[in-house]
Amino acid sequence: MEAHLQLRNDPEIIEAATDFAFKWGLNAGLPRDQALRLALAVDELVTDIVRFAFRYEEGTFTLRFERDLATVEVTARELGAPFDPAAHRYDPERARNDGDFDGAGLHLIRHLVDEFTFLNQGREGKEFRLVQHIPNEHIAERTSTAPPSAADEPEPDYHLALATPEDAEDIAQLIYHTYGYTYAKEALYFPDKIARALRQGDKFGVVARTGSGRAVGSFAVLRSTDSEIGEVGEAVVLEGHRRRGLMTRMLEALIDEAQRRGLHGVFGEAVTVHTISQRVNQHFGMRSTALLFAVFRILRFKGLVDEYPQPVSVIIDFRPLVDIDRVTAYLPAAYADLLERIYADLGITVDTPPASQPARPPTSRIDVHINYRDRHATLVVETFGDDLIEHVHQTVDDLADEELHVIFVDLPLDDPATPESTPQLREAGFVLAGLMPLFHQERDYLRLQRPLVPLDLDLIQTHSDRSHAIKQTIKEELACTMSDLKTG
Amino acid sequence: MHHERSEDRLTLRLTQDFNLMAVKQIEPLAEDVQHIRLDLSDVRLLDSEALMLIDRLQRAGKTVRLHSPPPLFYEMIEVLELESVFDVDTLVQ
Repeated sequence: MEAHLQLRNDPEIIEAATDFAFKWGLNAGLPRDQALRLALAVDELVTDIVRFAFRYEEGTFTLRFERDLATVEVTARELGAPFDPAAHRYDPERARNDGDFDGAGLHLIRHLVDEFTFLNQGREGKEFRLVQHIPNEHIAERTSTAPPSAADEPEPDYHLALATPEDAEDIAQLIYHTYGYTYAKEALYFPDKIARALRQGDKFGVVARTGSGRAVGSFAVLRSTDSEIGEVGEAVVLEGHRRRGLMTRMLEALIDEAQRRGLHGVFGEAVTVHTISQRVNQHFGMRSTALLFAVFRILRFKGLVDEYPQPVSVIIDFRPLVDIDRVTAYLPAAYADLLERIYADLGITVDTPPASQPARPPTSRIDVHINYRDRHATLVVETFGDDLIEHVHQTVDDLADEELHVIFVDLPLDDPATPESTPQLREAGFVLAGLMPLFHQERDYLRLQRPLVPLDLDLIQTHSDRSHAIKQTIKEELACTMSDLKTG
Repeated sequence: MHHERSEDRLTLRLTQDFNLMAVKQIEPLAEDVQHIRLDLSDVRLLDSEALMLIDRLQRAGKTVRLHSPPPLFYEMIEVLELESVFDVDTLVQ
């Protein structure tokens, strides 16, 4: 969920912005003192913008508030005078001796929030991002470690129902008893986060219970924030209740609910440490469209003796829920054949208009999403401008301190500028990731990726023919880049 | 914000955040007084603009006293390493 405020550079708006930040934080699940810290950080940031960004003229700036199960993020974006935070380091001695507090606000912000990032967006302005992590009680603190036994119910009569916030603790226990500590999505171990997501409509799910009311399975869809699609996942069935068709029944109920809620498609992020999740997705009618590197941190996986030695890559499997027979897409020559095959897997024919070179504005508009926990960022190109490559380079430089594992760039396939921009991004070290169908504003995107850590592709396991083909294409592209990373 | 003046004393009770807006209101009122008492018991947040105002007032030779500042005030002083400038034993009543 997100909200936007457009504000004037007037001191009167400082308290209103601070109030909004405080309540946004509270509603997202921050404890009062954490919400207060976020509010004070917003106060400091907005004050700096009001005082310095438009010093001699009236101006406006925006605040974007976002939240998910794990974080609250506030992004300030302004087009004021150029500014470099590095040139405004707070010096306590200067403050004590001369009363010069330059940089004090930024110094406090860094202390008050869990993450602070500055992005220079060139002629599109500057972005300041504040992130607060939401603390919650881990399910292991609430539950016994012994999984419930199914022995007393050899052939229970299962009942399926849509998940409610009251089911949150049962869902967390199912995840915990099934995966131990090894499930990639940490939010699932926190009942409060699950309850909040269900209450706020960020996700919906199905819970399977026995006749006696014991929860034995769950399956959920997490709604995307900028498109009418959702991620299918969090699928669990307790040992002793498997191979009884529960997973299929839950998924069918979930797909019905997704269609009822107007979703255009669902996707799965299947880990590549093994192929089990990929097989399940294929079984449920999803088709592989992309291979994304290093989406999750290094994890220990249940059933594997050793820690998986690199960040975990995923296969995107997609299933449309609305009839899409044809799309118009400008496919870059290097990937056209593969992308057409991916579309064909989804039952979609591609109309490819002749290449054109429309006039571009001088500046690109790129929306940057940063996943601080798993160390990756996605640059969504909203408008192509003459400065696209320069803009991408600047953003990559600005993100250097975040120690990212990978950077993704999403290019809209309905924009004729995508084919000509792709070779430029490949020269900048980006390679194919794949097709991201309907991923932003219900538009199809080509995703490119640039790994920033060495990855052993032999450890990335793929299942479907198409995912093999995607991996092979990437492998050929990466041959030079990866050897550079290993030796660099 | 409520304020009272008597001779060279100014007493202010803030009912809003102690931020840039409040600073702009307080600074002119404090111009020709020597002693300033700020009642912050209803204040949720106090920011670096407020700290800078207190510092300016002290540097101008005025006596500043704070009543019941918010808990983050003490942390801010520590983070900014201003303990010697803001002597809380004297500053806070």
